[in-house]
Amino acid sequence: MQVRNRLLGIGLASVLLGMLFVLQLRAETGIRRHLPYRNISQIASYIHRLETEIKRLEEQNRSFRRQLQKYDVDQELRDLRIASGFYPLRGPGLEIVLTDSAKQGATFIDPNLLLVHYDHLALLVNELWVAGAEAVAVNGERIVPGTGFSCAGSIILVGSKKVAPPYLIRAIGDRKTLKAALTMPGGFIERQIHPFDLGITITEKDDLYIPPCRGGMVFSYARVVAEEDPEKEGEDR
Amino acid sequence: MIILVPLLGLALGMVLARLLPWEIPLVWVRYSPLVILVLLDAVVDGLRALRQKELVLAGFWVSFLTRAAGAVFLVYLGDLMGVDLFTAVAVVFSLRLFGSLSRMGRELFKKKPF
Repeated sequence: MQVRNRLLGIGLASVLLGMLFVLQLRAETGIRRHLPYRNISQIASYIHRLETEIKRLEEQNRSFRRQLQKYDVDQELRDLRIASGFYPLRGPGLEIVLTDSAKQGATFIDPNLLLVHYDHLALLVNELWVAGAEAVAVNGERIVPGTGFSCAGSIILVGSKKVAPPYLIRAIGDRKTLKAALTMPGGFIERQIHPFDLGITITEKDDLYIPPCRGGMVFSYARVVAEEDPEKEGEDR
Repeated sequence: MIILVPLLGLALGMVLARLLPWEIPLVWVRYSPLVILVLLDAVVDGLRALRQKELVLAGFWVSFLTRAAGAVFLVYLGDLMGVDLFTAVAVVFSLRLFGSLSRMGRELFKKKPF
């Protein structure tokens, strides 16, 4: 009886062992499935192919747009195309260069505190819009109504374009207002740049070039309707 | 004959785990191999103790649990401090496992007293 009890104990331990073993394998194969490390070179060449394809299509798009620009005579349409970033623009404005902190971080300082993050860019561009900028580009990527800033590991995505420091922001608009909006007490520079010791230089330019956006616009969900009474709420389904 | 019990248990556990939909949470996957290692050692050493008639079931479980918890805790502590203690702990318990295996072998093939 005693021996059988003890044997059962060991048997129970082995059951546990077998279960754990299978569960571990299951978890491990799950991880492997999500990280297909064998296919990295394959995926890289695929991405490369797609990138060259995108570049080709963008070039095509640009040349079509150049041709169309000649026929654009309707003023409202022109303004809308300017606002949505379809035209390359020139005009007076600011050139802002944002760099990571030059300060050598002590080992106990979180290095993240010394970097330019996507939210710095988002706040800066937002500040420029508020100050009346007419067109903004970050590292050559035109900021259009749908452009968002996001963090992708060690790089920042502006829309779908990867950008790296130094960040060059160009904005067309009233130079005095734009500059004042950034440098005012309690403003962007004081709140977002000085605490992190980031580098920023602002230069006023007489004639800045801002490139057009690369992509087009596709609306698959929104549809145009007649304007509705703003008082009527709760009619959204 | 005694060796059949853990083998059967092992098979039963594997079949059971295949049937059950459980999954180890991703955060724990780092630590569960240690438990497996400790458990393997416990089973081998338990078998040897059983043959030598010195196995105490409560002690068997308690020592297994403390060892497993200790191993996991040590690695967790290492992760907190930014030191990879996994390998250290894995080496220690692997050595223990080989020790248990050799003692088990000696026990199995030792000369029977007449």
